[in-house]
Amino acid sequence: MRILLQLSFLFIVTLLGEAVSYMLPFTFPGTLIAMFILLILLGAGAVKTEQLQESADFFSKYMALFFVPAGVEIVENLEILRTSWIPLVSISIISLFITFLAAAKAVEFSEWLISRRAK
Amino acid sequence: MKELITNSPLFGLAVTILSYALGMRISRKTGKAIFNPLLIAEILIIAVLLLFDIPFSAYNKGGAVINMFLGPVTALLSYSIYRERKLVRQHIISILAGTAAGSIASIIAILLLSSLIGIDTVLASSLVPKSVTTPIAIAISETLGGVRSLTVTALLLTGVAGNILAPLMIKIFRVKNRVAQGVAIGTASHVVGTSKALELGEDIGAISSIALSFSGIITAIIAALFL
Repeated sequence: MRILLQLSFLFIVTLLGEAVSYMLPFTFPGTLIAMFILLILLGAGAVKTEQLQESADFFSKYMALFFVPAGVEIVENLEILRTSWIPLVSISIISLFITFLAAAKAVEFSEWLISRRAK
Repeated sequence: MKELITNSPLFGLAVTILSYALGMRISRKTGKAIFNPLLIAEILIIAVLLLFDIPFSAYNKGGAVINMFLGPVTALLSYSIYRERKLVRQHIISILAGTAAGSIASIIAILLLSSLIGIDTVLASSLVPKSVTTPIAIAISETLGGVRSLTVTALLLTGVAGNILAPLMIKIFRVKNRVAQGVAIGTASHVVGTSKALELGEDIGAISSIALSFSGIITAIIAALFL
């Protein structure tokens, strides 16, 4: 019963996110708006973490299962993959290094600024 | 007979769940990042579809049902942020600085490299969200007009590479600060990289999992405003 209520609640929040996304003047994913709605509900204390625990544990344990169909869709685009796998792989790897470097150095810089101000 | 089986949504559901279960088992047995359960499941299903000449549309009758759960999965990312709120509050400035710098660098690098190499805009749009967590990446790819399956492919590649290369990148970029290590891993290589962060230390793993949600949100906002 608890899990059924949690699932219904999560689907209603997602639906609400989609509705808000539809009304926005710019395109922004409804699933992300649903995420903000849930964060607000948790922050306001309207929903407690314990009330969602079972579903949260289940979805985090098997999270990647829900990405499988979106990935399998690549069979529809095998031609793009065959002709563009070199740029796809090289861009992915090069940008991985750049992203890692930028994130790490920005954190180190901000921690350095904070420690300097604390002195 | 074949059509009778493959035209039921039950076919897509069964083959997806079974392949993923197999993938999880292989992944746990080997413990190697390259044997990612999602990767194994995809390869198995694609092999079945090609081998028995089953169209994607038939598979996707069941696949679409599983895809529906991306909503709750994404919404629940805020559950983990909220649960780690003490850690978030403690390092909020560093997390924001790192995830913003990383997300912006990632988008600029991908767009620059794409125009340098001269790939088409659909492929470039599919690559833009490839560093962020999968449910958010799929959503961004769709709003940008990308091909979501290409996004998932690039994303898997990035995650597995990030998982394997994280210790090397920490070394060559001389990242000593543990918060910086966690933020960098989560921002650059989402949840697949985060599993390596957890091996490096529980604190690094927690920061990494926070960073992957933050970078997803920041990338979505940048995509909505500027792209």
